[in-house]
Amino acid sequence: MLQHLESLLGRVTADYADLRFEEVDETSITVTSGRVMAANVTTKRGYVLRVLRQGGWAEVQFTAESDFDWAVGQALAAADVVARHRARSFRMAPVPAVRATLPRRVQEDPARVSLAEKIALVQEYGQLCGGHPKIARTQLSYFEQARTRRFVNSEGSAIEEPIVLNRISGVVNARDGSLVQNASAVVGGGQGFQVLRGRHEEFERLRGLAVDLLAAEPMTGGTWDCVLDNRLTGTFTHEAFGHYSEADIIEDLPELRQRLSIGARLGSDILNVVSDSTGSDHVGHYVYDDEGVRVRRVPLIRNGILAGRLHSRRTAAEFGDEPTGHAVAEDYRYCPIVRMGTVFVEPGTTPVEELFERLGNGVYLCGSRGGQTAGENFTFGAQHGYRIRNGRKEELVRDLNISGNLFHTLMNIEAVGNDFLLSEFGGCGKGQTNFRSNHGGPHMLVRNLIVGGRS
Amino acid sequence: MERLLELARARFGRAEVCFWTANTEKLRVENGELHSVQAEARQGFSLRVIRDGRLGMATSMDLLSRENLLSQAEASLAAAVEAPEDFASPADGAAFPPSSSPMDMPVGELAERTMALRDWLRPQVPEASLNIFWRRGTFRRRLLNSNGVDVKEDGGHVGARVGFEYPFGGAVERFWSMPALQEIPRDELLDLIHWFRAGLREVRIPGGRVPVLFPAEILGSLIQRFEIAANAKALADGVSPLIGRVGERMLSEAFTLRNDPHADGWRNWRRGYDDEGVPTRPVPLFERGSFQGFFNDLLHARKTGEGPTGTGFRSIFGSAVAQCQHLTVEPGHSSLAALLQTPGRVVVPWRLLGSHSGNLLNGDFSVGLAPGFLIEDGEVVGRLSDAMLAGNVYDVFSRIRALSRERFLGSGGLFPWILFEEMAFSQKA
Repeated sequence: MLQHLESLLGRVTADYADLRFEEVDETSITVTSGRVMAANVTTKRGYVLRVLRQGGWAEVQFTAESDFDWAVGQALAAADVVARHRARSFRMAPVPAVRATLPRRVQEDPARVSLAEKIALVQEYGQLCGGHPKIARTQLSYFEQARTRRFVNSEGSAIEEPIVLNRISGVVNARDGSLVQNASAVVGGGQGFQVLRGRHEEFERLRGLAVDLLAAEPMTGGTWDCVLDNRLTGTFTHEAFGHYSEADIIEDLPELRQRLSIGARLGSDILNVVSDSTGSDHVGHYVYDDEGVRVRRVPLIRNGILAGRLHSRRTAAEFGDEPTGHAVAEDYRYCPIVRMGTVFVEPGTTPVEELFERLGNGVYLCGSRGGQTAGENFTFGAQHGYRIRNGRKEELVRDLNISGNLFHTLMNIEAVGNDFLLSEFGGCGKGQTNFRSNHGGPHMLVRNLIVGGRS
Repeated sequence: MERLLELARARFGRAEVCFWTANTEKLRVENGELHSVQAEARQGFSLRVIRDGRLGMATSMDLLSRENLLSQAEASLAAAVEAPEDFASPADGAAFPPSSSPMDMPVGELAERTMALRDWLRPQVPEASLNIFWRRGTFRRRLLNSNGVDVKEDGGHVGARVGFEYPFGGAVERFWSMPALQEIPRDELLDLIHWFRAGLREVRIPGGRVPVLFPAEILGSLIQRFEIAANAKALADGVSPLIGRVGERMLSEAFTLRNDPHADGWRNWRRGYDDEGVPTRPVPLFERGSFQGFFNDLLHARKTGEGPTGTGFRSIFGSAVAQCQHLTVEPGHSSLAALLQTPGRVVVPWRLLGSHSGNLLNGDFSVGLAPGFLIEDGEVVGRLSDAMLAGNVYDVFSRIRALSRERFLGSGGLFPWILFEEMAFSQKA
């Protein structure tokens, strides 16, 4: 197949061209309160052609090989249009050509697990979440994606790399009159189906949490000192800083780019943040990105100082940096953009119990409901929290969304715990959903976070 | 497709075949430079079958092997997925043929016009990183089923977004949906520039409860919570906060929300049929503040014992779900200009962060402003940063002070601007 793609690409006359072909097998199962609502097995495929000609850049996505000549015509015409109107040519940082065919890296291949067994496992976990008079609905989903990515370029690279992911996620809704609360969990990874087995405890706790949230007080809005749990540390890091490490976010924002020069102080000495997709034991792992560049470990913040950035070949040329292998596309429908890999805060030295002692009075924020970033501002949501008084965990609180600013909030990280946990599945939605953007870290003590809530 | 349907009907009894194809082109200006042009061509087929109350499904990028599709559908029946009573029955739906093709203009000419717009804008906002984004495309859908439904819809769409990004990040943007490629109104761009300039000053106010004027373009973030609750799936699952409340006046009498795929304001996005072949129609959700009922797909029409509402939508590779793709709020009586002159202090959120997270089903929201603006006695005095708004939609929509008589097509729907009596506001001191 790689040879065939190379022969297709040979028909393109450009300064640079690459062609990515993907076959994607997906299985999705939804079970609502024990009933199977969806069980879809699909195979999809498509191509992405990118060309650079006379300094102009264009991209075409198409699903049928019979559209290849059309795609070439579109791409070259569009590249010429771009070239005519740009003052500066697109450049790409040089990388060595790579020829590699990688094996499928899973222990228990989900393709060998029957649909019936997958449904049965989801139903088994679903039963653990229900069985309480106030539980109105349990909704559990299984998702599996097996992508075979094939990439060739005009520089001689030819790479085939399969990526397999699977997860089970669950949301439990508890209801009391018109008040509805929910609790959620997700288990999964890229190592194979075995990571989904024996995860009963993760789903069993949801029932109690959802019911307890019905009785919890809504959070009072204001500025609070907080301890973040591992999952929320991950989300916080992803939203508060992670997106600013993506070079394409800041490249056209002169003030932000200036303030985020390598060597700028962003946090205290205790803060160390890394992007590392090289380890094979988590969902964020891959070897080559969607430009054929090998991914590497990138220290982003070292002792509070900005130390690195995440790049595509184009942004690396723009910034005068080395490519880092972070040009990633969700699948065959998309062109690659700069994406975080596995981003985490490295563990510190403070025992978790001491974080609460130092907190004194504040909020313990737990579980993640995602977040969002715009400019130097970000927000992220916690699943639930606890009021902390005199270092002791007290009543449960709910409806917790937190807002912050890159340049203030990182400086307010006072202590970093000595524990560590990574999320089992990603889901960053920067225009396209990247399941491999996962995150994590230790517990952290952060002062002066803005928490939205009733006044 | 007809042959596939014939084979499927012979094998399963009840069957539905869908085809979808779309061509899209995107042109992007970033920081005043023409960044890229992207083109997309996609297609897909799906087969759904019903047998013994179970739904089977198969999808493919082409019809090279009908037997594969039939075998996949047969295999999927073993999963015992709940099925609707039947597929759609033949019925007349509205027709909305496209008025013109958005792809007629060559991309070179589109680029020329865009760069001319850039040249007009840039001297007026030298502080901004100027972004312009065009998206245009055509689609074709066809659905056949064993009841004799044969629905074809062709369409095209054009959208443009212009944004002025602050040097420190965050942007003031606006979106335009057009029936065909045309000029973006210059007076609306000048208005956008006015907001951008006002946001160069940062202001802070104490936390507390404040009146909030919500722009049409972002109102969908709040309205989405009503949509989630009024979904017949939430009714069937027993989780909707609206259960048992049909006919109850819960919100302000000034507020009327419908799903109306036929409204003129939707232009090229109007639909005569949903993705299950059911004719669309206006579906009232709230009339003068009173809850009217739930919307559904064919499965949840059966489960709730209601007639289908023409709101079953799906991707070619996914299951049908009930969605309101044409949410429409009735306009009010105040001009937007008058609302912007509201005496006293008013917060105007321009873009929200985190509206997708939180307890959506319960109607709660707690969102960051990125940016927000402060108006005092009719003057935009500056930008609100490090700020949040919070509340519950069942509370804030029960206390609407006014709606604009102008409506705009934004993300999520065709909406006016709405002035709410108050929301909880927090800002870092």
